[in-house]
Amino acid sequence: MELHSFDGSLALDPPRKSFGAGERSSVTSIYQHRTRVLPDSASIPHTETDQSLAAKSDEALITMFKAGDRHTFKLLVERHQDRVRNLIFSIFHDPAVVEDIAQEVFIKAYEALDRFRFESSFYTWVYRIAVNKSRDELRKRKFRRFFSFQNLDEGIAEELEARIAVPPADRDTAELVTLGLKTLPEKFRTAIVLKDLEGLSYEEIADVMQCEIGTVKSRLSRARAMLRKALQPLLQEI
Amino acid sequence: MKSLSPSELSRRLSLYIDHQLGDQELREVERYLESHPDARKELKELQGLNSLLRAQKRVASDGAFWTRLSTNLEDRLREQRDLLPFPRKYIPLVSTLAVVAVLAGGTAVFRNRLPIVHYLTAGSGAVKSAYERGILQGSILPLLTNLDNNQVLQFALRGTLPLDAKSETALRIDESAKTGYRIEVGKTPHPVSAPLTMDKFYADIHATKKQESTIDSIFDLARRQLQACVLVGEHDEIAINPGLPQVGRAMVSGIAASLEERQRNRFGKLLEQVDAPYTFTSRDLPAADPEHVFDVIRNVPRPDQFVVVPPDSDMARRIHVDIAGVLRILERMKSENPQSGDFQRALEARRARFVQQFSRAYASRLPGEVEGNGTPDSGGGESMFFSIELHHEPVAGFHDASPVTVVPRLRRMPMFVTPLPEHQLEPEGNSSPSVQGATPRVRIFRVGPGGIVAIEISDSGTDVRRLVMPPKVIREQPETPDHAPQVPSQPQPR
Repeated sequence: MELHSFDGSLALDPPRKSFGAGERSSVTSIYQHRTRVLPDSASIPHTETDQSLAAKSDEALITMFKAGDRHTFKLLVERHQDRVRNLIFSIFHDPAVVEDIAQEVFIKAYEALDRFRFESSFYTWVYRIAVNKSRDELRKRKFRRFFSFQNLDEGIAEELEARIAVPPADRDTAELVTLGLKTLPEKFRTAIVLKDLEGLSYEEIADVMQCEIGTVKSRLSRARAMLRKALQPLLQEI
Repeated sequence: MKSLSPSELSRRLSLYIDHQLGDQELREVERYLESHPDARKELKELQGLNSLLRAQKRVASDGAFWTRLSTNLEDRLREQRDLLPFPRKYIPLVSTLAVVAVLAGGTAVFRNRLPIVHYLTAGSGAVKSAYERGILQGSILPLLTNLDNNQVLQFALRGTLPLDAKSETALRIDESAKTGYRIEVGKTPHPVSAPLTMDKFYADIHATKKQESTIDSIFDLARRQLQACVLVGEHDEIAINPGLPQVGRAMVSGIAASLEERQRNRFGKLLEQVDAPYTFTSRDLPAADPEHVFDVIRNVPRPDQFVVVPPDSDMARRIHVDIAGVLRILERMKSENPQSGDFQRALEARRARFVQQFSRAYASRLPGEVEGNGTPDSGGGESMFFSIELHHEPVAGFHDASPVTVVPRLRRMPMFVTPLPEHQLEPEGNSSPSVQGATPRVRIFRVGPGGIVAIEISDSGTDVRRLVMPPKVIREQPETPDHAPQVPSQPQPR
């Protein structure tokens, strides 16, 4: 299928699997300006009214989905999209990435929901997908930087150090915390985001990160110690 | 209540603010907080950190998210529909075409297999493997890329490789016939002995020009081997190949084999004078064929598993690294980079950063309080280091092929000072339980004024257990006699 973007140039089918930085804006523009081929409900049929569905639990909606009522997926997405988007944002701090990864997460959830075994809640399950997708993206980014020796000395830690050294009145606290989070290795960053930003319990974090609770405790403790060290001047003023 | 180590205090306070402590532990922490202002300060900072994190910016709700998602889902469903089964009458034709295509493709791949394999390994093998294990993340590079012949000589004769310009941080090896190898990275507060130079070495052994040429080639080959043995990761992990000591052995064997009998005796005396980690036993053999010597150096057994030690945790793992692939990429980068000076400077900057960061992070992970500014040599002048102890691995083929038999020698100044008998190590309160049936094959010691942390890992890379020995126990250890043979011990400032 050929799609034409807004400026009339030829574009290929939506490159969903590509996360290259250069491709994101073009993908968004295609979606914004193209004509919909099918209406929302043409191939995602529903049997009950939205109102009665809205009262149902996640588990009930999933059961209906597995029985063939694909429309229930919309409610699941609407219930959890903000949390998933926030989680991805907290890991990347890049709004451009949030849209692409969140879309990928829910497409993956849609494809895998038939195999959902009710062993965890839907939102920890979908969080797990989000964490795995984010991890994939981080790996891709790091892989692209492999053996890239440019700007070796201009790391995030150095940037944080420079910005935190300015007079308190000139500091942007939120930005410093963001930089501090970025200095953490991925496993530690994800653990602290899930706990302190998303408010998950230790058990839920263990489920999302697929590790033992003891590991969660250790990662959280170390993440906090590292972040506290990185943001020391800021914390001393609180 | 006794003073808690920084890591234990951080662990408990983290659980405290999350209300995850049991009743007894909660009371203990509260009592501790009452009597320790520093702990109260840390708690306050952690709570402040918690508030800052909760106040972080969130993304705005997006009402059009489902609209775009449903479009994407439609497309995905359409793609699946586009793959609808075609008429059955075409199946034999398509199958035949598929078989032909597979055969043609297979033949092409087979004929070009070497370039393809090289491409794949150079591009991703090593890094992917490391990423998947989540240890050696980000860019990795060989740490010892700028060794000169004098430094390689230093390694062959003294078992020491400098990691910084002043030789304050160094990598050292030592070997005992009974227990295995130790590879150690750390700082010494006292400068090492005067460096050895190739010119003086050749003069001491009375080498001819031809022998000098052969030995230069040995050093070139050994330098490549050393380069392949020590890697540094993006987060300042150090990865050491357990085959590293074999390079020293092979060099001593190769040099000895290249010399005539009288020169070989002089070389043997020189090894005694510099208190080398190795010596050789067969001194009356004729000089060996240089090509055979070169082959031995080229084929020094290097396991494909590296021992990886991150600077900021008590973790240690064995992982596979396709070092040949990494080195190929490095060579390609060098050859493709038109400004090789910049490239070399970038490597140097990375290496310097590693030494600085590793020392700092490592010091902060030692048990107990490290006084001073947190640098490794700020703790009352004691040396600080980590040490990797490896059991002997089967390298019989290599030793048989060596032209001259090399053995560990007893050193006048022991490289390692304190034996660490296992029964005196008490498990740390929160240490991982031992893994049943797993034999520790690698032991890692981090040593400093605060005590020793020992980590044991098994062949499979499993973290077997973590143990802590407080400084009191270390002081009670009997001193090792200077000539005590074959005892695993820790480094002495030299």
